[in-house]
Amino acid sequence: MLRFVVRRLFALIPILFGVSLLVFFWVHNLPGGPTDALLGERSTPALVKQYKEQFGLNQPLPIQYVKYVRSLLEGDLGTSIATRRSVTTEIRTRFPATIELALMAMIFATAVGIPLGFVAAKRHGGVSDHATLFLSLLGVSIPVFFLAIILKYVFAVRLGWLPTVGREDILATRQHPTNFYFLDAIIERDPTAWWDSFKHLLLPAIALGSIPLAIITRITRASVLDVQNEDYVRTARAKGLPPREVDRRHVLRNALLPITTVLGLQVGLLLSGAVLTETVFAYPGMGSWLADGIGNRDYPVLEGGIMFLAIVFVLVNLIVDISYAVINPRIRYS
Amino acid sequence: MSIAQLEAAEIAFEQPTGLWRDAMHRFVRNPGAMVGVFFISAIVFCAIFAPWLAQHAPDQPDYSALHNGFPTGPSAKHWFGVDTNAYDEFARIVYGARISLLVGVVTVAIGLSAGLVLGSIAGFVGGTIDAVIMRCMDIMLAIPGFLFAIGLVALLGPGLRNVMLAVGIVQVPIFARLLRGSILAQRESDYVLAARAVGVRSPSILVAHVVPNAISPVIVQATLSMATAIIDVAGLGFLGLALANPATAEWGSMLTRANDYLVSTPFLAIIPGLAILISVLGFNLIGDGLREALDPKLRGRV
Amino acid sequence: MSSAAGEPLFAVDGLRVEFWTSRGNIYAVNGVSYAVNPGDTLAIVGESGSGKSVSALAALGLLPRAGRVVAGSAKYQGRDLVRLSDRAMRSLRGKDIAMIFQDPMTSLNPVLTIGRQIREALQTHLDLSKSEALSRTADLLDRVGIPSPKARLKDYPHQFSGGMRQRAMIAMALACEPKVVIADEPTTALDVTIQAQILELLRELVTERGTALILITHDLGVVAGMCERVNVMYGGIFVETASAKQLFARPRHPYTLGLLQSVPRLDAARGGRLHPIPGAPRNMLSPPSACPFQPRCRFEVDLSRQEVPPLVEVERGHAVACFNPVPEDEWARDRAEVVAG
Repeated sequence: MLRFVVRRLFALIPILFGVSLLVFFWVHNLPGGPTDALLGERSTPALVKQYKEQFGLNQPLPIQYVKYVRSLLEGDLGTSIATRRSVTTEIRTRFPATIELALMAMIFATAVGIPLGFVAAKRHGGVSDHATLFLSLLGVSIPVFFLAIILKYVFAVRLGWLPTVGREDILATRQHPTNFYFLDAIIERDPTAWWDSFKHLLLPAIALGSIPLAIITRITRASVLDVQNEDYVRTARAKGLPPREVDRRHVLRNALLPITTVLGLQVGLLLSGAVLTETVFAYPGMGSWLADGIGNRDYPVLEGGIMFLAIVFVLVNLIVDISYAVINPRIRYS
Repeated sequence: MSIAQLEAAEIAFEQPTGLWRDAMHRFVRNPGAMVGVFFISAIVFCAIFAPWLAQHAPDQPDYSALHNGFPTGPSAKHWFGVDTNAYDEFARIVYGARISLLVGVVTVAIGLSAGLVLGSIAGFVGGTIDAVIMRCMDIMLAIPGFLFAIGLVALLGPGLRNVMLAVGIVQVPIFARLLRGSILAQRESDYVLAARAVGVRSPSILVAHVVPNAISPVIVQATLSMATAIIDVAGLGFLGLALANPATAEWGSMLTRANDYLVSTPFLAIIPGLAILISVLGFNLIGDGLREALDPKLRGRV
Repeated sequence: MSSAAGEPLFAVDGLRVEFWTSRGNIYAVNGVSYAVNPGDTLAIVGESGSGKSVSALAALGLLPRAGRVVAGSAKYQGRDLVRLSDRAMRSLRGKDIAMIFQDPMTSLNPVLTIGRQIREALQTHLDLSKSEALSRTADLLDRVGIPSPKARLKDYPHQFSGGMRQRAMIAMALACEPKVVIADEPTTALDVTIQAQILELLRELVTERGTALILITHDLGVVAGMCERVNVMYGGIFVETASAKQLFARPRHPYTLGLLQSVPRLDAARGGRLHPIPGAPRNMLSPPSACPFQPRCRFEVDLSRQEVPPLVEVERGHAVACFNPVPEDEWARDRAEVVAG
């Protein structure tokens, strides 16, 4: 088991190097160049030259790359052009925001998706089955930003039940030691803060979670349908086990395995969706930050932010792989 | 009755029908698929007859329709109202169908053709070339598609052409993997082995056996990819990355200012989204229907 | 619960089972009756599609969704299982009547340990504490011949070999000391060398405990030495019922004769031909209106095409469903010929 983990960790290194190369190459080929963004209309050839020298943009690419990697390893991700703060500082607030959002979305997707898929499979061919299938198809067909817009319109603008933008009440002046607003509220024992945070998370989480919800529902349904016909379920029934136990211990435990295989895929979807959802709700997470960064040509933000996300993404996939090995005894012992 | 006659009689009972005819038969009976066909037909209709359906041009501003400078909702003159630039919304929706369909077709064409070439080479030649190609595809697939597209568009610059190229490139690994898998599976399958054992020559094996089996998943994937392409392009449009010229009527871009519309003219925030939804839903329904219709496990059964 | 005097322990009477499919109704079992008492060993022999497994599954209420019992009864100690509620059936399944399935790899849950799966049966039916159940399980594994039973309790099915898995299945079936065990092709998925071991084990256990055994198989070789009585099934009905001795010495139904003839003999003279049964199993989409074997039968008469033949006794304890049964000495003669060449 340990060997498995170590082997995987080692395989990560070349991947990360590859990604850093890709990111570097990408950033340095973005049209406009950093000078345009910074200097804008004031740009003159002399100023451009001066700027380039100042930021070491004249040196040959390989040297720039090495400097880039070195600063990465030191944890220095540069300084945002737009806000003048270090990229690391920005990430420190933006990243937890997106994590909270993504977690909420996944909790929503699994808490609703798995029971829905299960019930649909049990009532195969019935009305609820067809309705579930249709809803899940709708879920993948509706653009995330459109769903976000509709949710915002119905619940925030029209009904006014939930806030429209941001992470917390604009007027609130709270301390955020961990930058995880949920956690902070619990630490500070402040139920209003918690509720405020929750209210701001709800709509974006539902919008973001809609696609994972659809996928999880579909897969659960298909999986339960498959597993129900397996021989070992028949054996379980032949032993005289009550249906609830058969479902829980034999059907579900096997049916849920395939879902974990798509978890890695889900993380990617969450990231894409986050960019769109956060924009609609002006939610201050990584997604909207990067979207702004592209618009502003904020190169340090793009370099640092994307690299950071890439590392996170790769690590998350590793964790998913490991946990799959843990739950599936057949892989564990091979 | 001899054994041979008996068996021949039994086989005749099985009523052989062609793969395509069978599939069509099943497809037409699938209510979801038919709804999808209806949706897409409506979109295609709008695209083709746009100039006759729309009363105004999609990129001619009509400032008189603005209400104190704000966009307005449905009215007699402008069925869907006008947007912040005073363009007629109905016209933009209807002309937008052209863009969406164009986008769907072109991106899938790019993804399919490149994917076909790469996948076929990998599948047939095998060995190191296969490994290299597949490794590249894996790297591409490791990055979430939409984000990859954003990155490509940022690199190439805004504009519909670049957007189609970017989204098309994102589709390539999907098709490449599909084709390669299909070819490998067919190559090793029992019936190909049997045909070779009987002495059927390679090219005829390819045409008569491998191709029909390999093509079905591609057709299904192509339809589903159309849906994905439309959604991705709309997303890029929403973020403001898709258009070089703001007058172009692209549904996603029409929603960029949606946040602004929500309070004043919610209609404008909803209609383009509905259009996107209907097209994507349509293609997804058709794709699902095709998948069920072409599923070989169901073949031979009614 | 004691049965009325003279009532068999487990009796199936006139059972008919149908499956509803998109292609039409499948008439899988068309009027089948048999009975076993404690200590009896009965074999039901037939090809795939003959309905032999279905009748057992139907009795236990384990038919897939598309299947229904449309007539007949399956009585255990006088109670008709077909008409029992699922709840009542559950208390009988695994405890009074147990089933051993064909493929131990697919019939065991891959994500639960073997120990857990056997314990489940024990803990559901008997009121045992976890430690009691564990020690009982270890004993069971030991009795079926699995070495280091205590350690193997924590192993998963894929860590066992095929033969070991089937032994574990047997342990699971016998855990609650059922009175009737139905073994559905218990050795078909196993290597030939292991098959004999498993059958031997089964026989021992059944004799030890006086359990009634119903062995379902397509392999006549499995039957000899295992079972006292044999019922041959074809096209959803019994075509011949006899004691094993009678069947192997004097088969009277053309199908049984065909089965015996199609097994190549080691002592056959060189150059002799094999005698397969021509044709293929019957398509069960129509209700039986004639002898099901008729299309493949070389002894058919006019009546074979018009009516379903009833079971008729030809000697004590030996009945045949045929309008033109094979002569008594046909098989003996045939064997002599084959040996002589």
